[in-house]
Amino acid sequence: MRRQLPLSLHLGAVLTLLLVAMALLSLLWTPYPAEQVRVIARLKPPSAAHWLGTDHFGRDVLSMIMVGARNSLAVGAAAVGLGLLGGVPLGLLAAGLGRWGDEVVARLGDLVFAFPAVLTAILLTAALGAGAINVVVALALFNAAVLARVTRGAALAVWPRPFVGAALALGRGPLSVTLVHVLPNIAGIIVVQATVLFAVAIVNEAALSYLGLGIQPPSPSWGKMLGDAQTYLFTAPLQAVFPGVAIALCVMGLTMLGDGLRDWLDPRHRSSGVM
Amino acid sequence: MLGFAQLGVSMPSFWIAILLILLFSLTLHWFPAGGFPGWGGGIGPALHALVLPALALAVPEAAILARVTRTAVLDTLGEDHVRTARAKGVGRTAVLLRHALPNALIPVATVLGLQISFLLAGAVVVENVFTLPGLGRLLYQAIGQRDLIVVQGVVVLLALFVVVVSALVDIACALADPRPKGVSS
Repeated sequence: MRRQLPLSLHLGAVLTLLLVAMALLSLLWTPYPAEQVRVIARLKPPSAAHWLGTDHFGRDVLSMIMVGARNSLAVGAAAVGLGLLGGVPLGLLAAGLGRWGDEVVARLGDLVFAFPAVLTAILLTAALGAGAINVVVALALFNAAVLARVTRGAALAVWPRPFVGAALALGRGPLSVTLVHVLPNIAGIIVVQATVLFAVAIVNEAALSYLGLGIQPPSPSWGKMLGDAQTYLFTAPLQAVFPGVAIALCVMGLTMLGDGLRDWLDPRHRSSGVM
Repeated sequence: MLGFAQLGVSMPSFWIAILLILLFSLTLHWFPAGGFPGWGGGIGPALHALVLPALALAVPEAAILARVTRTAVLDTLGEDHVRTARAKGVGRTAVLLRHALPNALIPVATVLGLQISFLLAGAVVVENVFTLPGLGRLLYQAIGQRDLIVVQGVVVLLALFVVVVSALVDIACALADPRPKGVSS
């Protein structure tokens, strides 16, 4: 029997793909150049010419949201990619090395977790200056800690299984066992976690850009757009709605994708027939 | 219900804050859009100014906890003691409240402890939305003025707070665990 794909997986994948498509489209085409300033047409409500209106510099909001999608997804992808590169090997190492290495990785993780990701990013931007790169570094640090912990937990559950023992008995080294037998068995868990972290990274980037510490103008970012819109809340209230909708849809798509993948990979999470 | 939780998780707290200002301050004029009168003017006006910031932080939090509680309860419903309780004739609601919920509260409390750090980070941003004179606003202004010593102090203080709360939550979890002590499941 073929396993039914969960609904959330479908919806999440469609939403995410739509956003990625929008971000890619912005490379080739936007209704207006996203950084084109036309003060004469500032703070206009949505119309046929500007579907989502214009901001306080007369920039087209739809174009800015499209380019903002590209910026947000790029920051999120970089933060999660670097997190995977750093966290997964550390987690595998911790599980493979046994007590001593395990302890070191776990304490390092505790150290990172004591500082919420946004605080780390604020500290880093305060020391090194605001900018997308520093935000990526701070978020990647946090993601690496989370992924190391998740990888370690999942790998520890695989190590005692008979086929790992069999491979070791056949003379395979620990490195080869880790790569050939442990990693494929925990890849699903890691992918699910990475999807969720992607969503978290996008929210955090928006929050930091809202504060003016993330992506720097004139490059548009959803968070910055919300920050600007707040100043003009009386005259153009809708400008405070559209970028938020974009963030919410993006995060919703990614979390649903993560939930759907988890339900699909792990039969335990499907509702049981007891109640 | 689940859709609402999904929506709440997806909306960043500072956007909820802006939407709340739009609705309750600019349209309905129920609450102030920002600022803080201080505790000197009595508790009433001070709390009045804190309603919207608190709500902005609470909505995503409630949505996250709703999702965690649902998963945790579904997990415990599959366990043997729940089936036993159903089999001996306990009603659905009673099983949910007396047999499933106490066990499910452990992961909920754990997540609550982890969320404290995200709440603090969220407060830094939300304080700036409402221009509340708190640690978050202090931190933000200190960055603007390149006052690294203040930034460092505030961040270390917040990190200390996170560590203490995590420790307290761990202790609370150990105390609240309904399973018999010293028996591995």
